[in-house]
Amino acid sequence: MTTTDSTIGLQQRRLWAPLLCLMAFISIATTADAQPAVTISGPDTSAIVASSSDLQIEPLLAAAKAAQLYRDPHWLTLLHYANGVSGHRSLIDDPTFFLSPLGKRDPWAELEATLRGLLDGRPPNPGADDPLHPGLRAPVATRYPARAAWLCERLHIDPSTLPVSGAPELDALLTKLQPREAQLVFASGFLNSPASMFGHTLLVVRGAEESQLLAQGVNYAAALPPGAFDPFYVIKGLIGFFPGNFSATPYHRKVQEYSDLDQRDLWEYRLSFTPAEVTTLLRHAWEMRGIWSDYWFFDENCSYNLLFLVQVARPGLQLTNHGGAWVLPVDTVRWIADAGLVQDVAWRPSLATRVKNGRASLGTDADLSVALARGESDLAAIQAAAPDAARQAQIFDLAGECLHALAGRQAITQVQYRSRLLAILKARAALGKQTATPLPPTPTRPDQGHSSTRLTIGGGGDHHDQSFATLAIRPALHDLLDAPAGYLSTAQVAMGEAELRWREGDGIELQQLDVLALTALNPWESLFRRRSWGMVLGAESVAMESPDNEQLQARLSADVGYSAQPLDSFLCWGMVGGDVRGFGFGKGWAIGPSATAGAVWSLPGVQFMVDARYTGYLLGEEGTSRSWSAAGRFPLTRDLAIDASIERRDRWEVLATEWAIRVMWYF
Amino acid sequence: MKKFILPALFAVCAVGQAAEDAKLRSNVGVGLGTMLFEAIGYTDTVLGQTLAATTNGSFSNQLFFISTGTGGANKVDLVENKPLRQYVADNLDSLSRDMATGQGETLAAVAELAGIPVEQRTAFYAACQSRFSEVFTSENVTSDDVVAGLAKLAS
Repeated sequence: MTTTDSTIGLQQRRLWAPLLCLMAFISIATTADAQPAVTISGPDTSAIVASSSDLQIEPLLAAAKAAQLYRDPHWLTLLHYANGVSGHRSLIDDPTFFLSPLGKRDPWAELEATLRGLLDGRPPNPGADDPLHPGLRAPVATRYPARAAWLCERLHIDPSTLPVSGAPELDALLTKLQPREAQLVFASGFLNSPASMFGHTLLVVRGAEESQLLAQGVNYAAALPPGAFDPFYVIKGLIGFFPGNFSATPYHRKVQEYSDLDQRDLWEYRLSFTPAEVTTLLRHAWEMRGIWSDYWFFDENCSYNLLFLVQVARPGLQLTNHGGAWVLPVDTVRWIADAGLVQDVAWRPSLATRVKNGRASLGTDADLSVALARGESDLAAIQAAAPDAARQAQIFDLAGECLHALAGRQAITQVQYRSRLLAILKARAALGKQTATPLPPTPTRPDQGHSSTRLTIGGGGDHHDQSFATLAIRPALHDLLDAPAGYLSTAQVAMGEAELRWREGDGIELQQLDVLALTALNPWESLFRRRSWGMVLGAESVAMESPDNEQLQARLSADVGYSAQPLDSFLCWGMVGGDVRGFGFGKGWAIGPSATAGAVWSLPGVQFMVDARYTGYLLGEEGTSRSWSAAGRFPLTRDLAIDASIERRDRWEVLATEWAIRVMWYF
Repeated sequence: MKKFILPALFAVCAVGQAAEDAKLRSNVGVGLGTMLFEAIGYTDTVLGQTLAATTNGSFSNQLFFISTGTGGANKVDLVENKPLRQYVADNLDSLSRDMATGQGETLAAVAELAGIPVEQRTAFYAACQSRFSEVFTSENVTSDDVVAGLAKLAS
């Protein structure tokens, strides 16, 4: 993606941002426009070469100013600057990050304070150690090694002539780590955990160790206060109430967390950074120890903040200027890929994916594994059923993973888990080395799925032969009919979709606005017993009691139920729930229970879906709503699809049948 | 009703949650990182793991780079090898499965932390498998017992 493209994309998105009431809060303080690269064309600074004894601050400041170093994109990245409607400012909210009290808004003031601190050598913040801010009491060169290295390079200062140079603790760490490679790791979306519906990213730094699991994970996350659950934490998380910060965790713990507990596949994008570039990244990460900034779920989130670390590693990268009213983790992966940074990609299937694959490849023998894990069978039964040692080994391997899954959802006790695991593993060990069950083919990379934002144009008609034209935009992200490549095929995450309709005589009307429409279909089966659920928050235009009485109804519905996946390509569900509506007619509100059922069938090159919904509004404006619909969607290319649908509705005594053909463009 | 509508509302959006890693997991038994579950408040609610479960959080505290590092230790010192002990404690369940199959990423990481020379690893993996019962002597085995068992295999 070039800068120009992204600018257009942003403008289009920003047009719709005001429609999203959830985001309205957030967009106020967001970063926005793509910023043109600042080129340095000041006088040549090489004339000012500091000699070993007499570093003079004034000539250096003059040289820095003349060279406009404070406007250099690299300096702005080191300070986490971004353009917002409130002006040019740093996203860091922790005042201790800035050496100048003006540093958050004035990059020159911060540069001057940094340079003075480097030449002075004394710690700028003397006092007792602050455990939350590890570097606070240290001299500037020790606390800000990336700033120091860059300023010394650009101003031709020999670091050894500074009163204090280097950060011994960091140098010892770098010697130990020997950083050689960085990866961006994408964890697939996971709807059952609300923070994760769009996925997550973290950085992994590989060094002297051979094993990927021993590498260092660098993560940005909101830090919730430990202890009691706060009912307002969702709201607080949206509007920047929680501090977010960077932390480092051994990668094997992140693998356990995502892959084993949350059942999320991980994608490891190896970046084309040299060891020196990875070292620069770590020097800057060191500067960010303990530094917090307000965490905003939609934009200043985990993925956006990581971009600053990536951008620091190689001056000239323009990643953070993609930021808009929201930043989706998968989009940050795309920006990094578009910048040519991705060398190769590895897929790390989650425990759930491995179990699913094992069951598919073992066929009916997989039932033996499940029975063994559930304690419904014993070792002898398997040895009798599968005389072949290789087959037995695969059954035991799968049984061990099934057991892991059962313990993960606490379906068995720890005592049961331990005794069964030991028995299975001892039997498995006795079989010696055997060929492991092969992994399934690697699915489509998340960044190679359809683009995040969707524009829909189409037309249709109803049973009165009245035709209409329709225009809709959906900022994010995926529904059950969209091409599943690169996405979770069992989940819908649709945010901010707005549809306008034009009818002859009626003019243009808002037909529908989905602030958020989520569906998580979790096929219910013996190992992973999770209910399915769905919710919609938004508004839609509904005719009440007469076809001419169109009412814009605010709506909130929530359903929970079960789904089944008898075939890989076929998913069906049934749920019950409740529906609340508010409108400007009659009593003005209605509430009642609802039931819904549906199915999706994915074939190569086309998806079909049918669904039906019944709601009995028992309170408020009484009435019933029955509807069913059928749709087919035909992807033409990755980012283009044709959709055909028919829908029949009987709501508040108004009957309507409607068909439509739509073209969908993802961008 | 309340039980699922509330979580569904909260599902609208949330923030990553950093759970506190209060105690260093040191000498633990097999049990799928029981402490890991406790640390992040893992619960099986009506929607599966929903509100309490952290996702984007981290187990680490705010200090940077508590490195596992590489051991490169002398074989006889395995019991004193802290990175190895920590890793085994963190990954005991995966390690037990890898040892039973005689291969796997977790086992390879253990061999690396234990400083087993590359050319001796195949033999080490085979020994882990064939003498599995000597290391995992009972279901109450702890991670330090396992490290001691591995030290015997490696010597």
